[in-house]
Amino acid sequence: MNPPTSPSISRPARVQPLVWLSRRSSSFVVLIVCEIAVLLFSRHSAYYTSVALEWTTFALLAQGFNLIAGYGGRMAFGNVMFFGISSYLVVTGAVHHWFPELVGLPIALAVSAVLAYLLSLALWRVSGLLFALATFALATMLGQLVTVFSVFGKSAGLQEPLAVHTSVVHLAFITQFTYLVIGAVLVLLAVVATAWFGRSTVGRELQAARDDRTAASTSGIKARHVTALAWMLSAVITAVAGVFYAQYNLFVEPTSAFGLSTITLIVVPAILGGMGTLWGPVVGSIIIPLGLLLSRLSNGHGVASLNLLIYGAILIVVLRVYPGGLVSAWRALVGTRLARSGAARSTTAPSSAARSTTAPSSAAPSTTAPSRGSGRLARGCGAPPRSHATAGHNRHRPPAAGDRRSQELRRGEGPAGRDLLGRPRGDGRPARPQRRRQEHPVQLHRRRGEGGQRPGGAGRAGHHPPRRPPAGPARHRPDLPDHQALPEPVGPRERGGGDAAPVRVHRRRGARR
Amino acid sequence: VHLLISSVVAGLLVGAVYGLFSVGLSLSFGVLRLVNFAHGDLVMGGMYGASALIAATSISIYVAIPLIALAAVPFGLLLFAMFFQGTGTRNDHDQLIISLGLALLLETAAVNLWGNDARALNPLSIPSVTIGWLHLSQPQVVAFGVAIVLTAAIDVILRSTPIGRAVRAVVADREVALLMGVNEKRVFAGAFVVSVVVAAISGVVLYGYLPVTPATGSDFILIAFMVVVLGGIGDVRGSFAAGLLVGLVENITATYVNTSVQDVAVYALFVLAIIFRPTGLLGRGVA
Repeated sequence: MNPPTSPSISRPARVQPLVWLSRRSSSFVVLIVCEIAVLLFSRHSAYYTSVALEWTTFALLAQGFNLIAGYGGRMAFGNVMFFGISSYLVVTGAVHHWFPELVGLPIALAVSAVLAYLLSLALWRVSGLLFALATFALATMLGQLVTVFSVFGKSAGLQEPLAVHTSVVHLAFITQFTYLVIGAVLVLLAVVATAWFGRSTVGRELQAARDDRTAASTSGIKARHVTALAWMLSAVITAVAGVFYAQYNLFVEPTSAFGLSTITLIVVPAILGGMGTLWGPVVGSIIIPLGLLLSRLSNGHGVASLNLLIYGAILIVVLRVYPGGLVSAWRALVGTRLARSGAARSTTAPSSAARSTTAPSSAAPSTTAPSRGSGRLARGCGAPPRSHATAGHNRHRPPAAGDRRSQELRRGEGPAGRDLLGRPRGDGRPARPQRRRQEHPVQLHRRRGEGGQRPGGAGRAGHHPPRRPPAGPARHRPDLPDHQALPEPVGPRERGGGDAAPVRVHRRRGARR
Repeated sequence: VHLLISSVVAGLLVGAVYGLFSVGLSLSFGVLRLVNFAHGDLVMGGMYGASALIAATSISIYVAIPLIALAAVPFGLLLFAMFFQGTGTRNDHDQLIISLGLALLLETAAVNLWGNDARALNPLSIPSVTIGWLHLSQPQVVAFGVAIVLTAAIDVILRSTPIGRAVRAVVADREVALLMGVNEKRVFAGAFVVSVVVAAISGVVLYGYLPVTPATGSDFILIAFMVVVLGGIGDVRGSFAAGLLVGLVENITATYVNTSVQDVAVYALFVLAIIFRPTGLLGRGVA
């Protein structure tokens, strides 16, 4: 049997991320052109400038959220805490003359990064929904703590002194427009960073770990570490956005820094654009200025806070109608052409194709193909094994591709012609039987004797039945009668039965080597 | 000692209501796997409903309880059909984010319908109950009673009726329950409606002694999340007990430390519990 050398990574990683970036530069050029257009448009209007500033902030935040939630599969709702922490750190330091903003910036970034790393380690066993809740609670907790101490200005927040002249040490610029230019650059950088990360070894490992934690760790991926790194990067982007926001507003305040409304504004663009896609959050963030402008138009007559209404409606409509978000909708529309042109490139990377969220069971297209009701079961078995050893490069996508193709990819074949356990397809292993798709989910579970939700499953929320339990189903038999013990959807059970599984698998592999 | 006792009692009284609406959340969490961010806003909806009803008809708040509960049934069905039908089998996160959107909608709707100002019963009209030296407002005591009765009812229904068995079967293992002939859709809809009704009733009884603003919902939702996790997901009694605990911790911290940190202690408890005891403090959580 093949030694499980983290295959999901090895192949695509041969294209150096930077080389890849330069090849794909056309879509970045489009982004730059768009940014310049926005800059020119908002140049002479203070209002448009402020709207555009808001836009860049939330584009950054959404991109940061996308990194951990889309690529990493961890719904870090509490990402907003890094936003709050960094803005508070910088402003507090400046107001009390502890350190100037330029010093505060690296401190804020470092604190956020370290905190994210540690939190990710601490919350590793906490999966899915509980993870979202835990981070959310942490953020809210910080928001409340801030209101207690007068150092942080209690619930009124802190006001930075207005800049009199441009000063790099204080990160202070006279015109809002300067901030906007900086913001545009930051957004570009964030996209480049995400692209680079998504193509890098760690990024590949991250996506493998997201799709099947057990399989990934079986292949020698340090899933925990990789996810922590991803959250670190995400936290840094978020923290940059926080400092940026604090600097152009010269003001921090608990509700905007840690509140649920900010969380929503982070999530909306990411969802609208498409999670786990490179361009999704940036494309989706257009809703922020749209909402603001619309609500300004209707100001006075009509509804209050129309923009929030729009955001809420968009969340629901997108998820109910097209869970993949704009990017995958666009891809379905334009199909191959776009796949070639590269705008969707990162998303066709093996496993990440435009799912609305990252749980493998989500198989986003279920609305477009409702017949695949039991998407979780269908995954990984529908498509006959194709030899797409070249799929990692996407250049060779079959022309008919469009959405269909990406669905196949999404449905199960691991990256680059390997399955998720890292075995090359066509290694003599029988093809995934077609039958599973047609059958009723229940029968299937019963027959296979591994009811999709064995205690001690792969240890994730949106899990799916591991298609081939690494150490053979027999290992799990003892757990079977334990039916009231449902591992879904949230962590608790995993501490009990589940814990051991990945570790044990790991050891066995190690021993064999 | 008087201070301690009165804060303990107040904590228990509030905690019972926390327990009540958390039982609702626990149901939707356990059955639908729905982390309902809109749950707090449903409680808020109950409060506003009571407020509007009382303002319009000047009935007693106790009469409003069954009326609002009745109104909540079709409302819950509507919400379910519009937002959550069919998403349950797909993916946990989708539902979560849909409910986040729903929370946003409800909150904005409340702002537009009732404005940002706080509404409350006329404090002078609230009768009080005196036990020894302990003065409690009557609605608070009634809320406690309602919470206990409703939670007990839900518990009994879940434990010893066919419907309850079906629900528990779905909580335990959705696929097997389906195989055994449980009508999954009905159980989903039923559980969601029950959770909406419970939230609405909690809202009404809370309105007896708490003011309501459009932001109230987001305060409650966190409490509900924490209570559910502390109590163990899908565990009615555990949720109720955890509700009492949270109410207690809140009130004692508020009395002895600082009102504005009252929730920090609870959050800390929650995060620790999530890391170390994810099946709930009582350790009986199903999920």
